[in-house]
Amino acid sequence: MDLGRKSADPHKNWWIYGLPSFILIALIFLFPISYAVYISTLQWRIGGPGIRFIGLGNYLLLFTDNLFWQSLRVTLIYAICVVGLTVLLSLILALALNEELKGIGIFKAIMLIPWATSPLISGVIWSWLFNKDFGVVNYVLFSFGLTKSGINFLASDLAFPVVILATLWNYVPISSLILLAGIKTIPQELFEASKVDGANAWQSFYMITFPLLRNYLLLVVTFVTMWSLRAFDIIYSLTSGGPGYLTTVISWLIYQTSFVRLNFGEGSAISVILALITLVLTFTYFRLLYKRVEF
Amino acid sequence: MSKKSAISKVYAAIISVIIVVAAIAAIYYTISIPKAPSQQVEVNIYTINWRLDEYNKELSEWLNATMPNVKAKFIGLADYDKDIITLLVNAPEKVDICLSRGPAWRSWAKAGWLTPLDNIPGMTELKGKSYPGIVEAGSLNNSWYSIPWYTSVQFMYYNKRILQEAGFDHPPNTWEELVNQSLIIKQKGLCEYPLAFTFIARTLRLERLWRIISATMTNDKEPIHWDNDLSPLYLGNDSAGYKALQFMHDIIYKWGIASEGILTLDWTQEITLMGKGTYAFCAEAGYNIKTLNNPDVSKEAGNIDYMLWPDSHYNTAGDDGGFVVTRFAMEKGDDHKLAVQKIYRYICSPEWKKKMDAIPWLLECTYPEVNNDPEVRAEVAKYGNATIREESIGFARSLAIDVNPLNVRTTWSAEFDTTYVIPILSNAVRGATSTGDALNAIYQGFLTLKGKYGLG
Repeated sequence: MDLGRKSADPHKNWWIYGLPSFILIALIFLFPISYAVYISTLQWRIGGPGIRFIGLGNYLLLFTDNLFWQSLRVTLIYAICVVGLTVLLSLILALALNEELKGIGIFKAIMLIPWATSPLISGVIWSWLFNKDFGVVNYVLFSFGLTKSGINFLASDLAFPVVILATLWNYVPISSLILLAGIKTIPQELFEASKVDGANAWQSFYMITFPLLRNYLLLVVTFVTMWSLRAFDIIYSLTSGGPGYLTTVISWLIYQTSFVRLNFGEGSAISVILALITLVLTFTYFRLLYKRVEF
Repeated sequence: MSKKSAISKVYAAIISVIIVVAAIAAIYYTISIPKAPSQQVEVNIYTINWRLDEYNKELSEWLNATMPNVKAKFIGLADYDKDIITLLVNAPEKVDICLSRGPAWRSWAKAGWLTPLDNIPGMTELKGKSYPGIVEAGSLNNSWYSIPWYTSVQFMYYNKRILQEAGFDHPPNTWEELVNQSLIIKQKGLCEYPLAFTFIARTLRLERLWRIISATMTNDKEPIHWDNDLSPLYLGNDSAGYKALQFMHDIIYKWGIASEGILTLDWTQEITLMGKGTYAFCAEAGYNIKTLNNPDVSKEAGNIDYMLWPDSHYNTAGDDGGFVVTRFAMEKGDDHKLAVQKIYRYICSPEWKKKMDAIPWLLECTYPEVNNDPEVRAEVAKYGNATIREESIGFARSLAIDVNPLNVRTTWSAEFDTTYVIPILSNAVRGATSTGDALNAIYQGFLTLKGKYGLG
C-alpha cells in the first residue's frame, strides 16, 4: 500500500544525519589535534628568530635530547606502576565492596571524596603530609621510633613513590567503583552454579568474575593509562618535577617547554609524541583485552 | 647710542629670550602631555589575582576625575604566567598593559609585542626619578620596556629574642659569624634549625639565593658568574659561585643549622614558621616584616627585624619583571593610545606607588623619593629598622645580576634556568652530586643551549 510517502531509509542520506556530529567532532577534536601537529612542524619560540616551517626538525631535536628520553622513561615507569597498582587495588576493593556489609553505602560515598578532590589540591595535601619537619607521616614514624630527625620524602629518591601513592589515592576509588559496577552485572546464578560444581573462591573469581569483568578492566586500564600519561597537576603541586629530574614526566616537560621556555614548536612536538604513545597503548589494550561478553 | 637705550635693548633682548623659551616650553608641554581622549575608550590591564578591588577602585576614581570617557580595569588571571602567554599568542589585541612576572617581558619584547617606554610622552621624567639599576633591569638592547610593580628586596630577617637569649647583642655581620651564632643557638636548644632559606625547586628562589649569596661573597662586585666573553667564573674552587653553593649544602649537611626540609619549604611555610619562633634567621621579601610583626598571626611579633646580608653592605634588590605596554595598545587609534599612555604613566607614578604600595605594603623601592618620603619611613619604622631598610634599598640594583651570561635574560635563558640551573643546584644542595660536578653540569647545559640556539 502506498501512503504517498517515501519510506525512510536510514542508510540513505546518512551524511545529513551524521553531519552535526561530524562538525562537532571536527571542531572539538580534529582541529586542535591537526593544529598541534602543524605547530610541531614550526620553529616557533617567543623571542626567537621568527616563525618558520622546519618539518620534522623539532622531532629530530627531541630525539637527541637527553631530558626528553629521561622524562619519557620516568613517564612510562610512572604509568606502569600506577596502572598496575590501580587495577590490583581497585579489584580488591571492588570485591570487598561487593559484599553486603552494614554501612557499605556510606563507605562507597566517602570513597568518592579523593576522586572529587582536584589533583592539584591533593598534591598540596600530600606535600604537607610528607613534609620533613612538620608532616604527619614523619610525626608518626618519629612516634614509633622509626626515624630520629624525619625523612625528607619529597627531596630524596623517595619522591617518586610518594607521587605514585598520591596518584593512587586519586585514581583507586573511581576505578574500584567502575569495577564494582561490572561485578554487579554478573548474574548471581553463575556463582551459585559454580558452588554447586564445587569451585572454590579463587576458581570462581578466575573462571567467572575475571573473564566477565574483562571489558570493565579494559575501561579502567585505558582510563588510568591516559590519566597517568598526562599527569601534570599532582606533579606540579607535589614535586615540580624534582628533585633534580626524578619526577619530570612528559606533561611537566610539555608545560615547561611551552609555557616557561615559550617554545611552542618543541612543546607541540612532545605533545604529539605523547598523543601517539597514548593512542598506540589504547589500541593495543583493545586488541588484547576486548571481547564480546555473552552470559 | 645712550647708555640708557643700550640697557633697554639688553632688557628687551632678555625678555624676548624668556618669551621665546616660555613659548617653546609651552608648545613642548602641550605636545608631550596629551589631553584626555575625546571618545569612549576601554583599556585592559592584566595582572595577578591580588588586591584587584583596591586597584580598580583607585583607578576608576582617578579616571572619573581626569578622563571620564575612559573605562579601564585591572583583570586578574588565575594561572597568570600561562594565561597571559596564551592571551598574547591568541588574542594579543585584548592586552593593553600587563604585568610580566620575572623576565618574560624580554621574550615579549623580542617577539615585537611591546612598546618601548621612551615612545610614551612623560616617561623621561619617570626615568629620571628611578634608581638607575631599575631602569637598566627594565631595558633590553638600549630600549626601556618595563617598570617594576615593586622590587621585592630580599632581606635577611632575624629574631631579636632568640639572639638575646643566646647571648648576642647584634645580628651577624659575616657568614662565618652567622654559622657560629646558629651553632650556639642550636647548642642551647633555642632552635633545632636556626637558619631557613627556601630551596624549593618550583620557584626560582634556589637560583636567586645562589646568586645573592655569591654576590655577597664577592663583596657585591660584578660580574659574579660570567665574564664578558661568556666564560664561566664559577667553575674554580675559589669562585664565589662554588663557595656559595658549597655553603648552601653545608648549612644542612655539615653544620646542621638548616633542616633538609628547606629543600621543599615554600615561602608561606617559611614565614609561618619564622613567626612561630622555629627559626632565628630567614631570607624573605621586605614586605613580610608586616606579617612577621603582626601579633594576630605571629607569636614572635615585635621580635623580628631586618638585617643586612652577611659579608655585604647591601641587599640585592630588584624584580626584573614589571608592567609593560603592548604594541597592540598603540594600534587601536589615537584616543585609545592616549588613554593607555596616561593610565600607564599614572599606575607607574611615584604618587600611585606611594599610595597603593609603599604605605599599605612597604613594597616600594623603584623611586628614591618614595623610599625617602617621611610618611613611608614612618610606616616602615612601625614594623622594623627603617635605617637598615633604607640603607639596603638605597643600593637597589637589579636581579639582572644573574647566573645568565652577560646579565641578559632571554628566551633561552629561561630554558637554561628550568632545564639545568634549578634541577642541578637542587641536586647539589641535597648532596646527590658534588658541588664541582654540579657547576660543571650547569656549564655543559649552557654549552648545549649555545649549540642549540647558535649563540655567539
